[in-house]
Amino acid sequence: MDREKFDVIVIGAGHAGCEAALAAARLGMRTLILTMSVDHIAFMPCNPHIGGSSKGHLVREIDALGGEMGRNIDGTFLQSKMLNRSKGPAVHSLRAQADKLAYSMQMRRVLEKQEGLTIKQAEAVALLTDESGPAGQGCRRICGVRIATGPEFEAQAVILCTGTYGTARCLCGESITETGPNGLQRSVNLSESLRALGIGLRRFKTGTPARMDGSTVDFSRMIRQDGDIPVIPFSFTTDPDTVQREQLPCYLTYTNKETHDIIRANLDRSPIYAGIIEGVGPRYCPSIEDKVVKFPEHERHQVFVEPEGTYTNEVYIDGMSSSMPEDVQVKMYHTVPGLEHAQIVKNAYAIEYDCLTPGQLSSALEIRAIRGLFCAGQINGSSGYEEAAAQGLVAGINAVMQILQREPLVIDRSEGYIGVLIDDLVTKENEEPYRMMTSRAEYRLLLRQDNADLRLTEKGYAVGLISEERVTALRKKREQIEAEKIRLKNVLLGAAPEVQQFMEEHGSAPLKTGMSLAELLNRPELTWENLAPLDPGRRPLPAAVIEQVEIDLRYAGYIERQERQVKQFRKAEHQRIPDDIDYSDVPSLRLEARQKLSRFRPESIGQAMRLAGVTPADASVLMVYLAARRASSR
Amino acid sequence: MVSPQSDGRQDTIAAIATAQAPAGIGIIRVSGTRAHDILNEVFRNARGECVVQSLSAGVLRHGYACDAGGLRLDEVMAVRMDRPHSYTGEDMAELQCHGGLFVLRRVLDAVLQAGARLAEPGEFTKRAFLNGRIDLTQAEAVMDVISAENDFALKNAGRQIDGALRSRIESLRQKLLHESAFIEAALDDPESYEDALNDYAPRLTETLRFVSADIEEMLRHAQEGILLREGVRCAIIGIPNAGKSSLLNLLAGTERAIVSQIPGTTRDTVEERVRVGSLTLRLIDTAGIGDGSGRELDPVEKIGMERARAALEDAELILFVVDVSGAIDREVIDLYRETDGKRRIVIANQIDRLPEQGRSVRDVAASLPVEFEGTDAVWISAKTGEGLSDLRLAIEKSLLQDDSWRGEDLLITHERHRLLLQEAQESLSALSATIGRGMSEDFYTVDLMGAYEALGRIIGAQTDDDLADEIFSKFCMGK
Repeated sequence: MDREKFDVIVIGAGHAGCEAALAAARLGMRTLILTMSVDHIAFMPCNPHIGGSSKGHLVREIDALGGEMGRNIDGTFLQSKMLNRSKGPAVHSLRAQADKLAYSMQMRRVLEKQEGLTIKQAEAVALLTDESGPAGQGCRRICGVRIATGPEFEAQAVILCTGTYGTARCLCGESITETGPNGLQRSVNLSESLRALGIGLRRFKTGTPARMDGSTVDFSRMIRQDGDIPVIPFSFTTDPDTVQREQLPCYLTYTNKETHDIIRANLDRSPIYAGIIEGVGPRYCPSIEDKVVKFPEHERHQVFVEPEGTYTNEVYIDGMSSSMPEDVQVKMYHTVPGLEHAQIVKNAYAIEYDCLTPGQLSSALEIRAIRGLFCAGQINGSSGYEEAAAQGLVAGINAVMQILQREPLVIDRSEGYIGVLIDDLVTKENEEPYRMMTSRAEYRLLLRQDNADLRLTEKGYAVGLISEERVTALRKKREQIEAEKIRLKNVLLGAAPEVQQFMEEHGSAPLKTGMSLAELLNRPELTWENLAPLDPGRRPLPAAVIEQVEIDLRYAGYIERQERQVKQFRKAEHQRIPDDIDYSDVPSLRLEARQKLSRFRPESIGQAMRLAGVTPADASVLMVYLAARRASSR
Repeated sequence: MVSPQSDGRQDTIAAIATAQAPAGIGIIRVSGTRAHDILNEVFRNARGECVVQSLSAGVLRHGYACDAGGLRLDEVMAVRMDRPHSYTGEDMAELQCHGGLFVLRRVLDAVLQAGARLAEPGEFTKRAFLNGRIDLTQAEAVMDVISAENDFALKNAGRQIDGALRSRIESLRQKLLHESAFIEAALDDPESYEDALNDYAPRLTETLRFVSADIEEMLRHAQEGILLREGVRCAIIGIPNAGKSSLLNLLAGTERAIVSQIPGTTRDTVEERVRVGSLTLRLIDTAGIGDGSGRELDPVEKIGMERARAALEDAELILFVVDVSGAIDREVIDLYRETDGKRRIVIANQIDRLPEQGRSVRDVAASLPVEFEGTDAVWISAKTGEGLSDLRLAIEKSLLQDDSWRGEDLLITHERHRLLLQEAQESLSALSATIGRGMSEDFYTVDLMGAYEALGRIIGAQTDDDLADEIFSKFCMGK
């Protein structure tokens, strides 16, 4: 049979698949995206929000690299909030409630309009491979995909973005259905094909709470939570004026002792606690059963009631995901103030699915054993829409970089949350779905959501996803920031009466000696804006420039200390480990370290040191070996 | 840099492990993949048979060390140790010999003949470290034992081998990590942990105070610890012919330096290690510094003086020698001024000559130039040894303010450790300042982790790429 030819095939059209396919097509590749259901492109089967603590950072980084998620949510949100505002700028995080249907439809239109991108509803059932290089010693290479209805498609790279569909099972109490999320068709044959290629798979589990009929919820018994005014958009390309629209409220309520008693009394009927589920669930997104069992000292847990969209009454019960049998769920939910008479539209359920065993991926998100096979999203063991999208973008870019014989895009841990995310997925044996958290980022003070554009736009431009126009604007912004910082350091104020009066009016200590405007910005009560009367020489600047100037000057000491830590970190990252290293040749390595290193094949000494089971002493053995090897090859 | 071969697994090393001095017993130690084969070649039982394969690990066996021709060199006890249950983590063997030094060296020759390579200084320890048998502080401590020059240094090194330093540092790191984890959890889940950070600052401050006090405790006597282990760079300074070399010889108890009446006899700096109480002095005799009192200085003498000035600059203690039997003129005073700001002891030398001049120490003391007023000079005769015990006491007193360090369980004896402890301390002060300024909790972690990592580098729990250099510098030195 004649195979239709593509450059890149993306399997799955969730948040990872959409970014991967768009990136590939935008970089000029003939791209095919396969999905079980074209009506569920960029579907949000779990929570109805984009962003949140650390995930908001990911969305902004995706945007800076030329991804779609930020623009898509800016066009479809129902409510937007900057979280953690009372803390420092590094942990500010944007979170928006999405209109799920609008989000999905808008992404579908973007895909449809994308030149070079073909969308097809089909189940991929097999990966096609051939040998590259001399017979017997070359590595296996991907060459195409077969779909359930028979046709085969040729490609130089394939990106697996299969989400939670691989041999999925949904569990609700004793009831088990063999479907993907929300009753959608699951995939079985593809997992078989992966196993046949020697790819290791394991089972992960995640869950989602019930959806309720909003007309049966008594919102007057809950605490109303409104969005921010003004709204800050996710995308650096979105004009803030376009997102100042009417927002919908969310509501806060709490579980109580009665709720917890019902859960405890029925634990034996929970499939997780009764041992029916074999998959491992995430600690960071626990079911209500987990919370009650693991935190017996908490008298109540928060429950957020959030709209699913404007097209429906349905509300999402955030904080009460559960896999209890339906009758227990009903009783449990009805104990919560405001939900006493609430009607469940969709039950809470847990879903179990196939994902990769750790150690098979490179930092480019390619399966090391099969050239041209890239993976992104939940198949890599992550959880979350944003985590998936970030990987999809990087995998899409790297599939193209490989075809074009260019260096892969690898963002390191000091450059972005995306770097932290991928490095963790590549080097760690996560025993549960991996969720992004700010604490995972060692260099958090530098990796802020407000400077994602300054950190990553140039990389996006180098790859080819950022336009000339956009990078020029970015460069201008950077210049303005630097020039303004220098100017502020050079404008000196003496202890003149009008200066002292200004300080008094702003609740700030009087000047004892001359100070520069830059030094004055160290005082929390003073801002660039309110210093205007003392700074007649200034020129108006964009708000985004002022924000960076203030952060840079105000937190200069911390930023410098963190930069020193980064310098130390980079030294180890820059000590590359050659691809062809044979760990059985490295003298004196402990057995466990030898096994770990052989399995994960770290790309640098830094990465090697992050492998569990590799001690500092092992790392030094390796460094000594590499030094000797370099010396002898010289 | 280590050559590739010296770290290859095929490489088996051997050395005499006991002091190379006449003793009842001497041990030859062999380590590496061929250790057992080599033992098999040099060790025979009473019937001349090879028996190593039948030996149980860790059990002493009587027999003979033989050369390649089968000739018995010595009656020995042999023991084999199997990896990883050995000091280095490799296969090892030891031969306990009973002959003297000469025989011991012949047995070592036989071992080398059989395929071992002579170990570099500290190489067994290096392998132990590289094989993960000991951590960096323990390795450092072993090197300290090897090079210990006084009882104190030896005892402290022993404590460090036990891991006392490591466990003390570990417990501090645990505390810091705990706080960091708490903050992170609260930041990651702001909605459910909102209240958790209320009143957190005072609690954290309490922990910091504890950690900081413990670090301070360790730092308090670090200077002394380092002096005790490394020895004190001590320069003998004075104008030509003040009796500096005689003083060196007096302290060293040997005729190390050439002494003559001729000014400028000592042309170069001469170094001698000398025990003074608990201390080791690295005593540097220098050429006299001066204009030669009208005498033309030769070029070599000039270089000597430059070196003397460099030694002065570098020294942690200056023994400033003045010949009180002669005139204390401008030259002496100018040179004395050059030592201002340094830790110094004025040594009034050649008091043996005073009686013949009809003067007493008291007379001279009363007539010292005003520049020397208030200095506690030590009055000695380097020639007769009079005043030597006073001098020893004065040296100890000037370096070890008091005896309180003796009560310490654990002394910091490495400059590396001291600097890292200081770094940790600085991070903790920066953190306290952050708390004081009312910054939000997310700023705490930079310095919290800064302190954590600095402490980690002390015990090698934190590795950076400098470690390889660290290891090389550590293990390539020594005796």
